[in-house]
Amino acid sequence: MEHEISMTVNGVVHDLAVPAERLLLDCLRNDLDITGPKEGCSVGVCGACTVLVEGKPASACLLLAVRCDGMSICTIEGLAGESLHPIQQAFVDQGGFQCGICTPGMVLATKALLDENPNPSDDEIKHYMMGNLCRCTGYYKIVDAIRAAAAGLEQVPGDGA
Amino acid sequence: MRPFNLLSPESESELLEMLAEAGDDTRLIAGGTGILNLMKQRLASPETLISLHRVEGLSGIEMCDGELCLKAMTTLRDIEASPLVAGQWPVLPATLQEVASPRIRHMATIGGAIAHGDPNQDTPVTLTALDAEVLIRKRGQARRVPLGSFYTDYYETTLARDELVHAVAVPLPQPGAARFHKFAPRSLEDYACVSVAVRLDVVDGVCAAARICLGSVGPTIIRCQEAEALLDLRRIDAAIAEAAAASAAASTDPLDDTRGSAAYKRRMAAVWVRRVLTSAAQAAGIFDGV
Repeated sequence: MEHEISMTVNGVVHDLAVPAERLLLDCLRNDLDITGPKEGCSVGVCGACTVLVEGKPASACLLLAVRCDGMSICTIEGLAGESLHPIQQAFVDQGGFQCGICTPGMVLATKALLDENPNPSDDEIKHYMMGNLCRCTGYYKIVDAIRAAAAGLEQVPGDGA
Repeated sequence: MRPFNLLSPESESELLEMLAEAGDDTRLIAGGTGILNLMKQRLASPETLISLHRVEGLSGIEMCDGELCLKAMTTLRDIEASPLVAGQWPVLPATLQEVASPRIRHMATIGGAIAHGDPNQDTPVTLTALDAEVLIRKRGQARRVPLGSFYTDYYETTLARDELVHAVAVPLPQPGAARFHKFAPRSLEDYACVSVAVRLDVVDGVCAAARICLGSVGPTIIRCQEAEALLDLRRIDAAIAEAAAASAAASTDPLDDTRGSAAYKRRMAAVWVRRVLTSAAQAAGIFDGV
């Protein structure tokens, strides 16, 4: 049986009919061709499929699409305006990625972190980001990028996009 | 994941009615971080899932009748961030900070964490040490079960198929202290090798009630009552802590896995019970020695 759902993804309303077992991750990637969220571990550990649901971080691989009916989803595709979002720019400037597969999740987890805690300590950054794994960078550049993003966002008051 | 039917009731009475009429192949889904993982691995293949996410009145943190009441759909992150919870039992947010990752804590619920029945979970270890009770409802009936007698085996609880975990009730603290530690040999978001929660109530400068509870080292959360009895009406020193740790370790029944051999886990249970008990006794002001 298919369920009629309506979700807002990156500001665009999508009306869909999905079976109960359709995961948000598959719905985004296969039904809506939004491929920023990646499938890594499929068990909620690696963070590659991190999206923001109603502004809070979630593993799209552990969320039924039906559950997102009426909700607002933000993926990496929804972050940039005319130019990169300051968090994205900080990851570029600091070299906070190599192969890039974890990067959409890293950037969205950073957004969730800085929305909750605009000025995190290094320990707070490391604790919050523990659920986003990177096999390339060794994490130092990612922490640098998050620190730079926090400093950058502080200088641009009101930019909470 | 095999296809299934999904029902999304909007009130608790509608939900309990569905549960009463449901077959054996019906399961509840709350945050989904437990059941969906089981379903993806085909360890569970329910025909029908009843989702709790639209049910009114199933989430929130309240003080009622002198207890802290954590309603089933409250996320672990909301409990971790609650000043009301931290003001009563700081050991609860301290425990939750070691559960999975912040992202998963935004999704996972306290009702799910209780009902899932995985002895590797951290939250029920601390809640058992705090004498929490599970508030269970079914059509026309309600009952309370101490968390300490709720679990019966790996992923098995006394919850019947037509019952719902409505909330968890935690008694308010007496003078004393409680401490939790998760020992994870690889990384913190992993399951524990062993997790330990200790609560000590203090009356007249001695231990009036003790709870020593262990996770990840047996088919259920383990309450070490023989070890607790060693502390009764005593002050704690290094020798008593060592004896209680040895007793607690003897009550474990761990499995060999990637977090250690059974023998290693038992040894670590002794080490961490000694350390957590010492730390709790120091915080409670009933430790003699350094």
